[in-house]
Amino acid sequence: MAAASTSAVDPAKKMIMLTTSDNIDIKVEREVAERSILIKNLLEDLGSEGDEPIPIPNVNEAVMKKVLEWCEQHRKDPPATQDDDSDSRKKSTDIDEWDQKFMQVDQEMLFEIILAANYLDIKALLDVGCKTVANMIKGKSPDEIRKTFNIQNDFTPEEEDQIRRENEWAEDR
Amino acid sequence: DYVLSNQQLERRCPLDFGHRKPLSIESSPSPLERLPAEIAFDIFSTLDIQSLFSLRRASKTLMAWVNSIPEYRRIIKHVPSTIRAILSLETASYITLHQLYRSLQSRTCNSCSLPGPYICVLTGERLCPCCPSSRGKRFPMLMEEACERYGLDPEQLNDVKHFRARPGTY
Repeated sequence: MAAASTSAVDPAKKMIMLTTSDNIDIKVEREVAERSILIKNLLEDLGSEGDEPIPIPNVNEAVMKKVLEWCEQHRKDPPATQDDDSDSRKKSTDIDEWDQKFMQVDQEMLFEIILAANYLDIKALLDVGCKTVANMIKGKSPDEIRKTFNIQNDFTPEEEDQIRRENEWAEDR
Repeated sequence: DYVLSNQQLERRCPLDFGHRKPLSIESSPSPLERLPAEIAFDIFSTLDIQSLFSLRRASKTLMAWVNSIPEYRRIIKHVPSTIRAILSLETASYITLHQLYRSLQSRTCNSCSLPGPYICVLTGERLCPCCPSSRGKRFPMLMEEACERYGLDPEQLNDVKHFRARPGTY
């Protein structure tokens, strides 16, 4: 009985409802959902009730579940500070081991997660996504980059050759 | 002094200066090319300069993207020689755009607080005239010399930061 009464007063453990773009309701603990600054602000604006489902029109069920899986894992992380934005974040390219595994998804999903993290305002997740993409670019040749990201080469072979030559040292000019 | 001349660099490594324009991007089959600009910039500015130059060569859209990264645009506009030198000496994979931009913005040497008139092409750091010569570890060495001194074969040196010497005033 004691346990029941504490969970009733702990607002972090309260369940809230999110409605995804494909009209699916997802139940999630408030603390987990509040990793998203967008949802946190929405809940605060709506008052402490939080009984009504919150519509998330830009994110579908599959992506939302994946994002919430990340939020669950990182529910106790300290909140991002304002100046976190610039240097410490940009410096390192290492990704936490759990996050690395989490990001082993197909490319469509990876980019969906990035867009969702941006929309939902989850800085740390956006960051992990960006680093994952950066690591996929690093050290690759232009052709390998095209293959990796399904990019159409719209340069003519002559242009391509010219650009390569313009951006390297050549003795014969 | 160990300095490359600007005229030399301009002729030998002219850079393309973004004369080529992209086609429309909404229809691109690549999710990378459809990213919102602010996210794309976030990703690209963490890349090393070599990867960034490979990325620009992948398509006109990506070239336009990279050309419009604020840091990249400012560096190319005001100090293209730095990029030329880094590409010419083949050290671009050691330096990120963000690092280089910060070094260019600062005025003082990275290891002491004296005014630093130089940018080290191997690390992208800002340097004063004294630090490189007083500290053995920053001083470059010929490949043969390094092999002999540390008992390495040339293959093993690939993992060590190195650059290609170009004719200049040394």
